[in-house]
Parts: sequence; C-alpha cells; structure tokens
Amino acid sequence: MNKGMILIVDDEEINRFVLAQAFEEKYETVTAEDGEIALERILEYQDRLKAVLLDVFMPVMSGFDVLEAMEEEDLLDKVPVIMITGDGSADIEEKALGLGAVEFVTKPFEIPVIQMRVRNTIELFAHKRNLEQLVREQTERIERQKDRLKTSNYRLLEAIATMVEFRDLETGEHIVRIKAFTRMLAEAVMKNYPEYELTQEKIERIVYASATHDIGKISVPDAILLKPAKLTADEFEIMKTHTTVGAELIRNMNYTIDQEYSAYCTEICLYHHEKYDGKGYPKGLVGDDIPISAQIVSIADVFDALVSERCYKKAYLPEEAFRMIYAGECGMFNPKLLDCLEQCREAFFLEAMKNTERS
Amino acid sequence: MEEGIDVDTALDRFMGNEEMYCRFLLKFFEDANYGRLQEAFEEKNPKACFEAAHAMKGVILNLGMDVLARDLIPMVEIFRKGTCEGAETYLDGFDGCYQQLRNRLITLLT
Repeated sequence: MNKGMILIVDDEEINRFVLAQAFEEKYETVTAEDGEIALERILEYQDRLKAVLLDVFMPVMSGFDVLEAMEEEDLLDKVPVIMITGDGSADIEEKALGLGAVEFVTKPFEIPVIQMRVRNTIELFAHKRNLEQLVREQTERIERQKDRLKTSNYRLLEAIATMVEFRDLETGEHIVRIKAFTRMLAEAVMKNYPEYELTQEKIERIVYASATHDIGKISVPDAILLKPAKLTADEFEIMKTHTTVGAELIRNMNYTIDQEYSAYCTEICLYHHEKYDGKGYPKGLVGDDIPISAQIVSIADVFDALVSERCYKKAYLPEEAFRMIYAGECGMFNPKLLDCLEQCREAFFLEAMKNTERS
Repeated sequence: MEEGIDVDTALDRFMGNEEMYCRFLLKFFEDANYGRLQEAFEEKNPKACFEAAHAMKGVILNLGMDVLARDLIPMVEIFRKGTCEGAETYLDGFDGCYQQLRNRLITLLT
C-alpha cells in the first residue's frame, strides 16, 4: 500500500527538516518554503495528501492566504490543514480556524505530541469523509428506489388501464399506441409551442398518464360499452361518465409519490373528450382552458379510434383519418396541435401501419 | 549545557540525529533574519522587526537555544504591539549572547 503524503510548509529550513524527519517513517513527506509553492504542491498532490502542516508567517504568501486560496479551490474538504503557530496567540488561532484550519501545533515542537495530533486529525478527517460518502451513497440509493417505485406505480396503473381496455378491445395495443402518439405530439408541441412550457420530464409523465385516459370505463355497463350500434341519448349520457369516474378513481387512489403524474392522470381522464370550440364533455371547456395534456391525448385517442376496428365501426386508413380530423368531422381541435399533428404525420402513419400489419 | 542550550530536549526533536542537529546549530548563525532584525530596528520598523524576530524565535526554540530565547521572547511581544519602544535593552542582551554563542559553537563544532 502507498504511504499517505504529508505536506510541510514553513519558511525555516530547520522547521521543515524536524517535521519531515518526524513523519518520514509513516508518511511520504513533501515540503514547501512559502505559501505559493505550497499551493502548487497541494494542487499537484491533492489526491494523495493526508494533511498539510502550514506555518502562519511566511514571505510571498502567508498561511492565511494559503487557506483562502484552498477554500476557493474547494480543497479544504479534501485535505485537513494543521497550522504551525509560534506562540498559540488567540487572535491567530481564531483567524486560522475561521479560515478552515482544523488543528494547531506549536513551536518549539514537541514531536510525540505533534505526531499524535497529526495522526488523530488524519483519522478524524478520514472518518468524516467516509461518513459523508456513506450518506451520499445512501441518498443515491433512496433516489434510485424512489424512481423504481414511481415506475412500478406507473406500470401498475397502466396494467389496470389495460384490463379495463380488454373489455371493449381485443388487445391492450390501444394503450401502447396512445402512448406512442402522445409522445410524438407532445414532443412536437414542446419544440414548436414553448408557451405550453412542456419539458422532457413533463412529457414522460404525460405519456405514462395517457395510459389511464379511459380507466373510468370500468363503470360503464357491458350493454353500453359493447353495443355494436349507435348509442341512445341516455346511453351516451352514461358513456360520458367514464371521464368523471376515471378522474374520481385516480383521486381516490390518493397517489402521493408523484403528485404531478397523478394530476396529469386526473386531467387527462376528465378532459380528453373536451373540444376546442367548447362542444365536448364533461365540462364544455373552451380553447386552452382544456389542459394541454388532455388536448394532446384527445387527438391521439381520436386518431387511434379512427384507424382501429371497433365493435361499432371498421378501421379507416390513416390518410382518411387525417382528412377527417382536419375536416373537423371528429370535433374541433386546437390549430396549434393540428399543426403538430401535421408535422408528425409520417410517424403517426408508420405507427398506425404497425397496427394494420398485426391485425 | 553550560552555553545555555537544552541539548537533550532539542536532540529528541531531531530524533537523536546529532549530525543534523549540529549542522542546524551552525546554520542558525547564517540565518538572514538576524541581519534583518538589526536593520529593521535601526529603521524603527516594528512590523519588519516582528517578522524577523518571530521567525528567529521558532528556530531558537526548536534548537533549544534557551539563552537566546530569554531576550528574544519579550522583544517579539513588544514588536507584536506595533512598537519598538522598550526593545533596545533586550536587543543589546540578545546581541551579546548571540555573538558569544556563535563564537563558542564555531570553535566547538568546526
């Protein structure tokens, strides 16, 4: 094992010699005769230095100047500094401690005392650094676990949503595609319309939350949900409740680990059938009163519904689906989002074709 | 030691290394701080006096030269207060001992 290194800084050769000799058995010693050279050595050997023994009064750069320079370079957290003082004057000790020194040795040197002080300082410092490292590692571990917990919660909710989808769809592919369409649109919105203040982190949450948009359908009876014909006005009223029920379900889960995600789930469930001109449901919100997350999922949902086969309709080709959306045949959408859809046309097309190939 | 040097304690400090101890004893008399102190005192510059005297004090104590410390230590305290007043007697005493010890050690060790 390599010996640790000690730097001895003193302008008097005899002091450097005596201290170097006292430590040469257990440590590799380097010396410096003024503060400037000391700082160079500290920078050079910062990863090997166990301690710096630093004289106060020196030409060129005093011990205080060295402490200040070390503080600026964040070196005081790496190496403990032990001051060499002539006389244990309280002013000097106070100033040195204030500047980050941790211990003192006095002249004339009492070698055994100095050896023990230096050893204790080095051990304490190493102990402190180990503890700090431990805290850092534990904190990182907790962060990683928190992330894992979050992801597993996203997945859990997604699994529930998929089970709900199974009632009226043949597979859970709808959710996979909704997430893909949502991501493409959201990224286009982030790029082209900064006023919506989307970030990559928000998009991740919105994408995960999009999976839950129809979770409220769990409360819609089979007779309505699976009816292979147009719904009556009363039946449609019941169908519409899947938005409020979904939001209620999410709220009742009292999901506190990731409240932002929970908020996105709620607004997506509640508002993904709102229309830009106020003709949607359940609230009839107009324009950008509809949260951007719900506006995005709404287009993704409509597009996917059009290109998929449902119990009440056949699948449209993607070109036809685009035409119908732009012509307003599925209700009115935010022109900015239609612009984003246009920019994603090719990617949407490819994703939709994957669907056709499978069925 | 009759010259006023605490050799035993000082040698401990040198881990028993007599050769190096003797070398540093002689080397002390080449130290520029002695000349600096004289000069600064003539110029009545207490700050420069303090720096030179303070540096010498550390060396003198480490070498066990108690006889020199006797006059030097009170002198350092006077200069520390930012004045040269009252230091003259100590400086004279210090000079006397310094010259005497210097001659004696040169005879003994060279």
